[in-house]
Order: sequence, then structure tokens, then C-alpha cells
Amino acid sequence: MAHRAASCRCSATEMDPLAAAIEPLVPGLRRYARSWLRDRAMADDLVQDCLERAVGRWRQRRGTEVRPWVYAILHNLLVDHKRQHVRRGTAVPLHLVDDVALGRPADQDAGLHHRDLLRALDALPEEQRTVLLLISVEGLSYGEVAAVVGVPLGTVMSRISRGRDRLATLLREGERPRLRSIR
Amino acid sequence: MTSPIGEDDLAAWIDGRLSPERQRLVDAYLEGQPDVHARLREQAEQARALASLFAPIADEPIPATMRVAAIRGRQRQPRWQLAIAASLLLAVGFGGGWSSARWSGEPRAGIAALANEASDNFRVYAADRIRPAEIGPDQRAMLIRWTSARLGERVTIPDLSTAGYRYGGGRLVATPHGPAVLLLYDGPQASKLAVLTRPMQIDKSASMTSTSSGTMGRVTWAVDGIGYSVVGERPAAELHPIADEVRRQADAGLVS
Repeated sequence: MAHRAASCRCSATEMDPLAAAIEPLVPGLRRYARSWLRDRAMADDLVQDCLERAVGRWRQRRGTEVRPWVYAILHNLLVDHKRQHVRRGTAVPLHLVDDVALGRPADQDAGLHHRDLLRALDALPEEQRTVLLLISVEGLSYGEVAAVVGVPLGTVMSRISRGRDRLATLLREGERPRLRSIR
Repeated sequence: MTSPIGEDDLAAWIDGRLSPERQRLVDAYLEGQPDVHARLREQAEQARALASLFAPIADEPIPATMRVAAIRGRQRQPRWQLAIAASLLLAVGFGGGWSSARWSGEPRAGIAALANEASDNFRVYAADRIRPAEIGPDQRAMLIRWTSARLGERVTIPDLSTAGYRYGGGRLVATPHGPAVLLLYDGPQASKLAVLTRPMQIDKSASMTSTSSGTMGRVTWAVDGIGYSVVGERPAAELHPIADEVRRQADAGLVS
């Protein structure tokens, strides 16, 4: 018994509980930020900002689930950033930065496909793109997405359906010119 | 009694998030709706493509600055404490720098290595007429973001205009101790100056040390695990006031 108690205490003090709750989310947060911004340094800046806030406000969290709480902080930073960005009109043409920012080589076939996908994604309304990324890429539950975006569950469900229909349409439209050029 | 198939069921079918009972129900529905089935299969494929497109980002090692311990460490130290620490170090550094210059004894390994890295890089890049800096002076923010991410430390660009030196850009350089930032400055009569900065493993804190390498003077020190070396084609004694200014700004956390 004494043994077990000792080993329990050991494993409990192994990792700082705040680090144990937040650090596993960091890879996903970086991915979410970069799926919005495509600029690695800028995206990481916002993630850093998000983490500083999460650590600083940890005590004010009051029982909310950690994952949607942290994603909501980042999401709001991204929305604010995008708003300022659009106003200043300094958006980087996305095809120029895709391959580099996403950290993959610009290999021929896959590169084309990825580019189509990114272009279609960027053509979606922001609210649809957001739920698509949070669900399909980040793997958040529908309830978590509702908490992150701050809308009712039903709204999330209709946004995801409309977003997927729109994405499929955009991808089909993107394919047509290429088929024509082959003929 | 079962509730009818809804949009939400179809979305959850794509994501594979239906309960077993609901899954059976939706599967049966789709058998009779080949068009809907085809559309959902296509969308499920697109969802998977989207996930795999961004997946590699999550495999990248996270920057050290994103560790909770690193964030806490920064947040725990109140600003006034930093200010006092900086002024103390400034006083110590002033005395220490002068005396060690007079002793002309062997400087400790970490700082000595940094001084040599500074003059080596100065020799290569300050003399470069085509592209001395990788990131020009108009892109300070980009250089700060880039090099801070690589060094795992917040990089600052000192403003040395009061000393007559204009910031001319910077670059990330390689040293035997990992990446370092080289900041280049243009002074009077086409004179050049550079500041090399990198995290220190050995001399985490060291007072200002003046050394020379050929015609180059170097003033080198470390504060809180970050090493600095100011290098130029001038005697080290003349570089000392500039080094003091660099340290003052770095300690104050002034970011340009």
C-alpha cells in the first residue's frame, strides 16, 4: 500500500498540471493558426500570444473544458488579426506562400491538388471555413466548435453542411478548366 | 419511434461520429439514395484530404518559447525586478568590463567563443558589398519573428543612431553553438559595426570583456543566458560606449 501511494504521488508531480493540460494542444493550435494565415512566423506569433493569455488567465477559466477554451482564445486572435489585415489590404497572395508555409516540398502532382484544395478553402465564407477546419482538421466535437465560435450547435451543423457543399462545388469548378486544356 | 434523418446525421456520417444505432439507420437510408450517398462519399474524401494537407504542421517540434514553463517564467518576473536587475548588471558590467580589459587575461570559454564568432561573421558579411544582410532594415518585424523563432528567445534590434550607426539589416548565421543573429550597422565614413547575439550554454551571465582580433575590436558579454558581441574595425575601447547602449536597450526590452 505504502508503495502504491508513493508511486502515485510521483507520477502526479511528474508534470505541471497546467503544462499537461495546455502543451498537448500546441501542435494543433499551430496547425489551426497556419491554416488561417499560411505565414508560419505570423501564425506562431498568434499562438504564442494565445498561450501567454491561456497561462495568464488559467484561474479565470472556471470549469470550462480546456480544449475549446484555448481554441476560442486563438480563434478570436485570428479573427481580429484577419480583420486588421483585410483593412490594411496586405494579404499575401496565397499561391506564393502555400508550399513553403505548409512545410512541404512543392512536388508536382500532389502540389497541384493541394493548391486546388487551398484555393477552394480560401474561397469559402469565413464562418464555413472555420467550422470545416475545426471539425475536419482539428477534430473538435460539434459541441466544442459551437463553444469556440460562440454560436448554437444547430448553426454549427448547418455551417458544416453548407461549407462542404460549397467546397465540393468549388473543387469541381477548379477541375473543369484543366480537363479542357488536356483535350 | 426513431427521429427522422437530418442534416446533422449526414454531417456526422461524413465525420464517422454517429452512434452505432444511428449509423445503421443512416446507412440504410443512403442505400435508397445513391445520389446523396455519392455526394457524402465525395465530401468525406475531401475532408480526409483537408486533414492530411495540414497534418504535417502538427508534426513539427514546438518552439521552446511555447512551453508552459517558459511562459510562466516570463510572467512571474515583474517588470520592476527586471529593471533593477538590468541597472545592477549595468553597474557591474561597467567596472568588470574595464578591469578585465586591463588584466588582458584569458576570457572564459563561452564569451571568448562568442567574440570569435562575431569577428568571423563580421569579416564575411560586413565586407559583403552585394548582400550583407539577408533581411533589410525595412523589414525589422520579419527579422525579429524569424530569428526569435530560431533562437527560442525574443530578439531585439538596438537603435544605435545616437552613436552614429544606422541599422542596415540582419541575418541568421551558423555558429558551432547553434544559430545566432547578426545585426549590421553602417557608421560614418563607410565604417561598419555588427552585433552578434545567441543563447549561451556556458557563460550565461558574464560582464563586458574587451578583446581584439587583428584590427577588429570586440566587446562581449552575457545576460540571462543571452550572449552579445559588438564588433567593428575600431579599438575595443571605442566600442565600449556602443556596447553599453546595446546592453541598455536589450535589458530594457526595447523592441524596434
